[in-house]
Amino acid sequence: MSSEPVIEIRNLTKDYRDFWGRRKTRAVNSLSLTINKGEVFGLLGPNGSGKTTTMKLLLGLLFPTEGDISIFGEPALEVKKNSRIGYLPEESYFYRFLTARETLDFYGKLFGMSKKERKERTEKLLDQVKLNPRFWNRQLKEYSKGMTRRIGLAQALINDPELVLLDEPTSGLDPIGRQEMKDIIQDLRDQGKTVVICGHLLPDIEEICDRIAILYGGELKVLGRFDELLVSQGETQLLTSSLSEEAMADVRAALAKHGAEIREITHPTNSLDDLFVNTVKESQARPGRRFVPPGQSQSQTSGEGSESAETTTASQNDE
Amino acid sequence: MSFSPMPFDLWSALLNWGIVVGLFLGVAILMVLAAALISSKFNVGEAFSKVFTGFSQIGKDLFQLSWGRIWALTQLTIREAIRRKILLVFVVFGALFMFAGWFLADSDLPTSEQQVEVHVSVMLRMISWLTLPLVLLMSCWGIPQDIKNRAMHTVVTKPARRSEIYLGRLLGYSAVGTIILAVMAAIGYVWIVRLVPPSAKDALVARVPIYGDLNFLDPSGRPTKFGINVGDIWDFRSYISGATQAAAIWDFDDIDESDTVTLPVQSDDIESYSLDPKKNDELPPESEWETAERLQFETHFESFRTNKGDMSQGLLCRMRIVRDLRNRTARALGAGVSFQELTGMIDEGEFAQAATRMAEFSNGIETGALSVSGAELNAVAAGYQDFVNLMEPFVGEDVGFPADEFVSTAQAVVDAGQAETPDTKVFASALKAQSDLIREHAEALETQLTDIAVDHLFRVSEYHGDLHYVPRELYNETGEPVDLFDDLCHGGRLRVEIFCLSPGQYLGMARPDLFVRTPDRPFASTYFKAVTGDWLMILLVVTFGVTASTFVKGPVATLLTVTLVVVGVGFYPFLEKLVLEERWGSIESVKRIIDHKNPTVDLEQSRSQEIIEFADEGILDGLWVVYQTFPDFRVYSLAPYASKGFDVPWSAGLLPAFAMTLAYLIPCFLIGYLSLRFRELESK
Repeated sequence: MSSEPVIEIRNLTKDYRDFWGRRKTRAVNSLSLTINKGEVFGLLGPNGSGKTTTMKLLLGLLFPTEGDISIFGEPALEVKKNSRIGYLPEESYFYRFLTARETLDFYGKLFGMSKKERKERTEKLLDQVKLNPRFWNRQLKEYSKGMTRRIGLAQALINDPELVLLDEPTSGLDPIGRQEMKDIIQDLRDQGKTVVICGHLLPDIEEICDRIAILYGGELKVLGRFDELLVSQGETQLLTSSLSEEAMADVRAALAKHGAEIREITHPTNSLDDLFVNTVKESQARPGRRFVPPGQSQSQTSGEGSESAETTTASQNDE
Repeated sequence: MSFSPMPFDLWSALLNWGIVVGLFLGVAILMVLAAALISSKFNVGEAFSKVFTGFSQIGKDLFQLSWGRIWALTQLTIREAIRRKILLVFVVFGALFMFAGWFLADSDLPTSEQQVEVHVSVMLRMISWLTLPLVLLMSCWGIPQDIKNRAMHTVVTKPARRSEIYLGRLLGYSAVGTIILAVMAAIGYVWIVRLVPPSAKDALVARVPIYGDLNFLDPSGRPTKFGINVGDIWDFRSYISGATQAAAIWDFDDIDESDTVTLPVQSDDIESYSLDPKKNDELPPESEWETAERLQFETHFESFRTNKGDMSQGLLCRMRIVRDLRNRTARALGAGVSFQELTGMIDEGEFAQAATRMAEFSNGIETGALSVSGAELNAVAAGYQDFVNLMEPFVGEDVGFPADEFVSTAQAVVDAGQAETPDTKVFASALKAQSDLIREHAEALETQLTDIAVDHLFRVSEYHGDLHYVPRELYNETGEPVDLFDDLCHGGRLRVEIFCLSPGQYLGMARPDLFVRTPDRPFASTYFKAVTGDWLMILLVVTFGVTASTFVKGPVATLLTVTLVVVGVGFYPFLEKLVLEERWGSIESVKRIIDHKNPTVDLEQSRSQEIIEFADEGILDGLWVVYQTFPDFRVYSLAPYASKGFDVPWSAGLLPAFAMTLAYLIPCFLIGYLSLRFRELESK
C-alpha cells in the first residue's frame, strides 16, 4: 500500500431537490476523504447514510452540489478516468437479453479491447467468478441473483482496473459465493489494486478491509484502520491449545499474581459461515455421504443420496 | 398528375437553416451565460470561466468520439430489437400482403396506369405505415427504459461518452428500421412485378420528364401569367379558349440530342399517338414500323366543352415548336416603359434604327431630359439579363458578331440597373456602349436573331393523354428544312406553344401537363428511390424519438414525436398558409364569432381591436417559429412519383428529403447529447 492518493474527496455535499429546485434532503454533507493506492477501503453506514450516493458521485452518475472529487487526479465527471475503474453496482443493472459472453464482450468493446483480448478476458473472468460454463451462452434473464452478481463482478474486472468500486458485493450471494467474492477481493489487494467496498454486511467488511469510514446522516463519523479502531485497549486475549484443570489453575494463579481479572474462559467456536463452507467443500470432495443422527450407524442410512450433505456436515463436525 | 415538381434551391435552404439554427444556438448561449451569472452571484469572470469550461468539455465530447464504442452500442440496439422479437412485424406484413393481393386481384380499373398506381401505392403505404410506428416506439422507449432499469448506469461508468450513447442508439434504431424497410421493400417489389396484370406491365416504368416554365397568351395574344378559369374551385389548370390567339407556352432549358428516344415510327413527320390503347387499334402492327431517334413529348390536357361537338374526336390543337430569338431580343431590349418602342423596331428587324433610338435615350438620361425611376431601371436590368442569356450560347461561334462583347456590354447595363443606388450617368454610358455595338453589327444581328416555327396538328386524347414524336429534321412554315437541335434549340432552350383550334371549346393545362419524355428508366429505379424517401423519413422519426427520449420518459417522448409527425404530415400546409399567406388572427376570429361578423366585414378600429390585433400578431409570430422549426414531412412523399410511373427526380425529390433529414440531425444530436450530458441519471 502506498500513500499515493487514488480518490480525493473534498468538502463534498449533495442535495436532492424537487421539481422547483427546493432542497428535499441532504444526502451527503461536507465529506472529505482520501483513499490511497492499494487500499481495500470500506464505506459503511446504515440505510440512507449516503454511502451509495457517495459512490454514485464518484462515478459521475450524480453531480455534486458542492465540493470536489478527484479520481486519479481527474474530476469525477471526466469520462477518461473510467478506463481505469471497475464498478459493480448494488443491483445487477445489465441488458438481460444478452448472454454472459455477450455481456462481457459488449463491455470489453466499450473499453476498446481487441476481439482476441475480449475473448480471452471473457473466458478467464467467467472462470474466475466460477460461473458454470453451461450458462455462459444463456441470456441473463434466466440467471439467479447470485449468478448475475458473478457476471456483475466479471464485468467490473473486464478492463483489469486499477480502482474497483464494489457496491454491496456480497449481497445476494450464498456463503460459498461470498467466500469466493472475498477471495477475489483478496486477490485484487495482492495485485496492488485499490478497492472501495460499500456495504453493511459488517463481518465481510471486517474480514477484507484495511480501512473503513462510517457515515451517518450523510456525514463522516468514523475513519481509520481496523487495528486502530477495533482494538480493546484495556483487555488482553490469550488463545492456547486445550488446557487441563491443573494447568488452568496455574494460569489463574499466575494471572492473579499480576493483578489481572479473568472475565471469561471459553472454548472457541467456528462461525456458521465456516461450518457451511466446510460442509459444502467436503460434500464436493466426498459425495455420497449424508447426515447420520447420533445413535445411528452409517450403513442404516446408505443409499439415500439426497441426505449426503448433512451426513458430511455431521461427520465433519464430529471430526 | 396532381403535383408540380419544382427544383429545390439547396443554397437558400442552407441559408435558412443556418439562420434558424444560429438563432437558436445564440439564444441557448445567452441563456447559459445568464444561468452561469446567476449561479456565480454575478461574478462575470467566474461565470465566463464556467461557461468556457463547459463548452470545452462539450467540444471534447463531440470531437473525441470513438466509433468502436458507437458501433458496440449500435450492435447492442440491433441485438435488443431482434431478441425482443421486433421482427414479428414481418408476420403482420405477410398477412396484409396476402389480403391486399386478394383485393387488388379483383380490382377492375380501366387503364394500365391506374392498375400500376393502385398496386404501387398500396405497397408503399403498407411499408411506411408498418415501419414508421415501429421505429417510433422503439426509439422513444429505448433510452428511458435503459435509465429506468439502470442498464445505462453500467454503461456510463465505462469510458463511453454520452454523445456516443446517443449516436449508438440513433444508429442502432436507424439500422433496425433500415433492415425492416429493405426487406419489406424487396418483397414488395417482387410482389408488384408479379401481381400487376400482364396487360399493365408496360406501365411499370419510370418516366424521366423535363418540365418547362409555363406562361400564357390571352385570347388577343398578349402575354399573361395565367389562362382562363372555367369555374373550377381547384385552379390547378388554366384554360385557353379555342380558335383565338390564346396559347400556353412552355420554355424548356437544357434540351439536347441526349434527350431523344429510339422509338418505332411510321413516318419522318411529327407523329402523335394517344395513350388510350383503344384509339391506336387501327394502326398497323409495330413489327411493320421502323425505329428512329425522336424527341418525345407527353401531354395530358383537359378539355372543357361549351358545346358537345364531335365527342368521338378530341379537341383539335396545334403544337408549335418555336425558336423566338428575334421576339426575345425585342422584348429584352424593349423592357421598361420608356423603351417599349424598341420592341416594335427589333421585331421588324430594324436593328440600326433601334440602336439610334437607344443612343437618343442614353443622351436623354445623361442630360436629364429623360427621367427613369428605380423600378424601371430594375425592369430594364431584367430585360438585359435575358439578352445576356440569349447571347451567351453564341459566344465562341462564328456568327458574324462578337457575342462576347454583347454579353459584357449587356451585363454592364444589368449591373448599372441593379445597383442599390443607381447612377443614371453610368447607366446611360452602358446603354450607349450597347447601342454602338448594335449599330455596328446590325446586319449580322438581323440575319442571326430570327424566329423559326414548326407546326403540328393533333387531336387531344381526353382522360388519357398523348405522346408526340418529333424528328430531328423538320420543315418550317415556308417548307425550308430546319434542324431541331441546331436551329430550333438555342443554347438548349426550346419553346413549345399549344393553341386550341376548336371554336367555343377550352383546353386546360398546368405546368406538368406537357413535358419532354427522355429515355425511361426501369421501374425499380423509381420504386427504390420512393422507398429511400420513406427511409429518410424513418431516420428523421428515429432522430426525433431518440432525442426526445433523452429528456422525457417513454410515453411523453412518444407523444412529442407523434405530434411532430402529425403536424409535419397533416398540418404543415395549413400552418404555411396561416403564417405566410392568410395571417388569420385566432382572437379576432373568436370576437367575430361572438359578434356574428363574417370575415369580409371590416371591424371598427378601437383600442380593444388594436390590442386584439397585437396579440394575434404575437400568436402568429409564435406559429412562425413553429413553422420554421417543425419539419415539413411532405418532402418525403415520393411514392406518388413511383405510383404514377415517374422517376423520382434528384433535385425536386430526393435532394430535399436528404436535406431535411440532415438539417434536423445536427441540432437534434446537440440537444440529445446535451440533455444526456447534463442529466443526473440517479436523480431522485
